[in-house]
Amino acid sequence: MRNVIYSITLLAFFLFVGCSEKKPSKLPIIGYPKIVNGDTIQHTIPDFSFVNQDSQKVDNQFLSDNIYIADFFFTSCPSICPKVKKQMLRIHDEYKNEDLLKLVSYTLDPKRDNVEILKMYSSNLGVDSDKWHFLTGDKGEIFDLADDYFVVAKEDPEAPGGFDHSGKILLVDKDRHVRAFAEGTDPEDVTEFISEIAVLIDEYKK
Amino acid sequence: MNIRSKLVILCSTLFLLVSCQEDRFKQGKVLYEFHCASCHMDDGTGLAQLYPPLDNADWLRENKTRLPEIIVHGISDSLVVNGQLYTIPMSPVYGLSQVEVSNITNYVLSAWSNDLGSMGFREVQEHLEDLKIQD
Ligand code: HEC
Repeated sequence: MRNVIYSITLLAFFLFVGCSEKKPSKLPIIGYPKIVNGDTIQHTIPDFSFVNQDSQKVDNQFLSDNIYIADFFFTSCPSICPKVKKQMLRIHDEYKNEDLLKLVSYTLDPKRDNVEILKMYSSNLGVDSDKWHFLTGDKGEIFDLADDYFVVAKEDPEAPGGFDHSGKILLVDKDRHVRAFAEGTDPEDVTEFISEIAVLIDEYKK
Repeated sequence: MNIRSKLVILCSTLFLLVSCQEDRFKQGKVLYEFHCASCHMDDGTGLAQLYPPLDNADWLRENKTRLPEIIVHGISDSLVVNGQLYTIPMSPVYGLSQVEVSNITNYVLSAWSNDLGSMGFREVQEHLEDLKIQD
């Protein structure tokens, strides 16, 4: 009898722990850490430098006081990009007045998506270049960078629009660590992501 | 016939009846989600001033007979939809049969809050035939 009571209590405890809503007070750092000379180095977004829709140079330095949401797209994309953009816009609207947060969209088609095209796109989206940067630049650099954001991107003449890529949306902190991500085509996933953004903002506001 | 096979037949008939009635525009919905929703969204709301809405859209209400044409030929006029100007052209959606165009058309006409009636297959065909003559 003692045993039975013991098991039931244990089970109840596990159920309780397992079912109680997990609200992490701190987001993990995503990616494989590297060990260099005995020190653990977390995955970090490398240096980059591109221009935005106002021809303003945007690099890591420029973003160093902000946390930001990143995604990869191209303006003529007929497949998943508009759906991802709709979710990006949702995040934008949610945190419109939170100056700590910026949004950064890298084009995978910099040849076509020059500064003027990106300007038109962002004004059609109805967003401000202060808050949301649409970046263009050297194609090789952008594709390499996509790798560091864990975004699969490759040129593929067979794919709709000529590029095959995933619709991930990523959250990057002031130290260039990726802290959360969502599938940009999945509104429910993005709902959870929006609350994860709040957790990171709290981390800096404490 | 034994009771078991009777039961099987009854159940299958019931199932067919239910599954056919459940969603009159099932194929249209699937095709819409595959061919149109990336731009116009699953809920037909479009995206800002980039992609116009199809749900509760005044332009569509006034031009609903052009739906088959737009699907097959795209559209490149500047459009004002619910007071917003849209200037990016829509490319044709290739590879759809006339039946499929008809199914998408009828799905869009009655999806979400739309209540724009329906378009018979013959009518869809006529619209598409007219286009061929113009070409
Ligand atoms: C690659 C993006 C894209 C896809 C896919 C797409 N459209 Fe469009 N659609 C547009 C754009 C952009 C316009 C605005 C065209 C203009 O301004 O000339 C438009 C305009 C329209 C309009 C007229 C404006 C309105 O809102 O009433 C209709 C109707 C329409 N599309 C229906 C469809 C249907 C049905 C499908 C699927 C078979 C589809 N579209 C697929 C981008 C797209």
